[in-house]
Amino acid sequence: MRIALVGQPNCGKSTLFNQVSSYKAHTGNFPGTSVTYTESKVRVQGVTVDVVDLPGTYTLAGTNPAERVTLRYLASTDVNVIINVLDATHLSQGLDMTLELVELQRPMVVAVNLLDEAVRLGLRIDGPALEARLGVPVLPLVASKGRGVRHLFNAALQAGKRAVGPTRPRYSRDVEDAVSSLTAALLGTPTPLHPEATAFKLLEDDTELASEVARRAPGLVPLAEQRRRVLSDGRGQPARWVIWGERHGLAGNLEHAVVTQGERRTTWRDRLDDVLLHPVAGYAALLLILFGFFQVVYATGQIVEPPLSALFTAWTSRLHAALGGPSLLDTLAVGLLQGVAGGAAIVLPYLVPFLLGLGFLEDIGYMPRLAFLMDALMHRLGLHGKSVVPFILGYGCSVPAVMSTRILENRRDRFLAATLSTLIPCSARLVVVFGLVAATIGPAAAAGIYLLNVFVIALTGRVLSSMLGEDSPGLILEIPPYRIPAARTVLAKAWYRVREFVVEAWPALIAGSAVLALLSFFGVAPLLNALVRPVTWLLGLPAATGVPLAFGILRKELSLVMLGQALGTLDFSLALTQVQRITFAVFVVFYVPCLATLVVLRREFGWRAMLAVSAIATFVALAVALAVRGGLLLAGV
Amino acid sequence: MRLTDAKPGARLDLRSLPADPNTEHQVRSLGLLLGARLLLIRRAPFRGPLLIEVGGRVIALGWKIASGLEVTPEPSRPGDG
Repeated sequence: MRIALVGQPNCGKSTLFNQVSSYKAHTGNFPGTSVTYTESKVRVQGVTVDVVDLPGTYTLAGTNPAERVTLRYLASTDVNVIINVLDATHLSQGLDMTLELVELQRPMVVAVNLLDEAVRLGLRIDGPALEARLGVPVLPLVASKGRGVRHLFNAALQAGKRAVGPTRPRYSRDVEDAVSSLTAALLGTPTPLHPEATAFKLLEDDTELASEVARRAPGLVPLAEQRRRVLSDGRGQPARWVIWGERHGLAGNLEHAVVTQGERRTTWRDRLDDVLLHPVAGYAALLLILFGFFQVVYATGQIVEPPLSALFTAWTSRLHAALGGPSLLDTLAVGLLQGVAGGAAIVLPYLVPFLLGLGFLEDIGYMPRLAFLMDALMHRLGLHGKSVVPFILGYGCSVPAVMSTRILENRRDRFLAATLSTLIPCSARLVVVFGLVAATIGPAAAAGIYLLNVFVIALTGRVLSSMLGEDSPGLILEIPPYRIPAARTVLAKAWYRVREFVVEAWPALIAGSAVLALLSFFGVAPLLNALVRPVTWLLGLPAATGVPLAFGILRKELSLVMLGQALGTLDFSLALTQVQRITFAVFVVFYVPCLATLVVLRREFGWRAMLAVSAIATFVALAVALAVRGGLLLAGV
Repeated sequence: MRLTDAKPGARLDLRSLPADPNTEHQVRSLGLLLGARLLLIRRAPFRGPLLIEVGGRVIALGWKIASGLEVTPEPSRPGDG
């Protein structure tokens, strides 16, 4: 049996999912889209059922990919029961979609979540009355505390066994006439949804569904068109507005009948936005929060990384000893081990606290507020506020940054945000900037590189945005109330993301490291140095820096490790001038993202986009490194 | 007047929807229907987004979208002072 969780964004659907899912839950993409779902096996009364967490959508109107795939998924025969999660504090808007779901006439259970918040707001919800009016079981839920979860799934299981769909609400005469005439015409034609639900969607002008119906029954398209016209002529507005308006009215009546407003208690949550969204204090708080966040991530990484690195170094020497000195096998084995070490000792110590912190900020409700504060600035880059998320992630690792562009609505914005986020120095590039510049010249020089980076990203954003044309439509974002995050949800979210790194990026890192070891074993370094010479010559760098730069594409931190090997010393100030060190670091910060990022870019956007991002990054890196070199030489450094 | 001309704290009636069908759908699905009563809570500086409350829901609207929305001040009711 399969149970689908459906609800609007911020209704607590994923919190509910994380309460019941196991660590084996997996995240997937709907075929041909970047829309994701999460699925897990759950035991309910001794029966194993599949529970699917579908993307949060406000309607099933099919105007964006998430709505289309949700409707399509629910239409599939695989789903036995729908659990519709409602936010008790915004019942009216949630009920809009509940009525849409009831129209599908599939077995269904309604969970009224966030009841604790509703009580705080003085709202009393009459569950039995709602159940009687909707004709489906209605259960109370406080998903964040696990209250009502067991009863809900028991009820869903029973509904699945009964396999009887609810009766849909009645609309005005003209709408019902249009629905019944289309339903009659659909008789005998296999439709993806219940015939009446199909009729509704045709009247609502769902073009994708219309083309699917047209393939099976071409005569229906002109009939649907005619029924839409009759409806809109009679009401003086498009047919879809008529249906949406009536549905909204029905939802409003339902809410009116089952919700009573008592006295509202004001709490700290109501006052918090006065500070956090304040035109001055809000930005100061933002800086403090982000500074604190990075400080915690950095401090945690600093505690975990050194012992892990030491452990891997010890293992490497033991491996050397066991394999009896330099040989092909030894080189390969050590290369593989170093790849494992790179993931375990360098990436994970920063990635795990970063993702935990990010999950916390997301669940407490700060991210939409960050988008609100940053919107005006992001517009200067041709994007809107929501794209600040990939940018922040970019300071940790470009891989989750590129993945997180899925939250943006259109491809133009996604591509632009992904391109710019790969120019942000990730934690691996931080290693290069700190090891090469901060350690030998001073922290101010490193800070200078970070400031320059922000400036260059802004400039690149302006240029790319004007080249891509059509400005982003702008920010439309619900700002949910602050909520105290449930530890289980934050941990589960971080776990899914860490697993994405482990499964997708880490293998590339290990393979890259092995290839690198083999190349150096076979003495390909001089050849590579000669190939990269035009670039190193242009940047005024020694020829030996070619290999570190080339291999930085595999793993950015390799650039620093290999620079030491190539120059024969870890005291970079002996082998390179100040200008050379800064030029090298600046080039590494901007040029082609690492292999793991390229893999994700290809998967998210395709080959052409991946190559385009690489070309843009290389061009920007060369231009900026040359400008910095020229500037420093002119300044007499 | 346009939504961007209103002052924080103003209670307004929505008189138009965005011209772009996708944007229109997005704002409608958040409860911004013609005639909806909304409260302008605050505005971000530098032509940043506007924060409005409609039907108990708080929504951030980018400047460009907000400037395309026509609103009228909600008629004052007896007892509102």
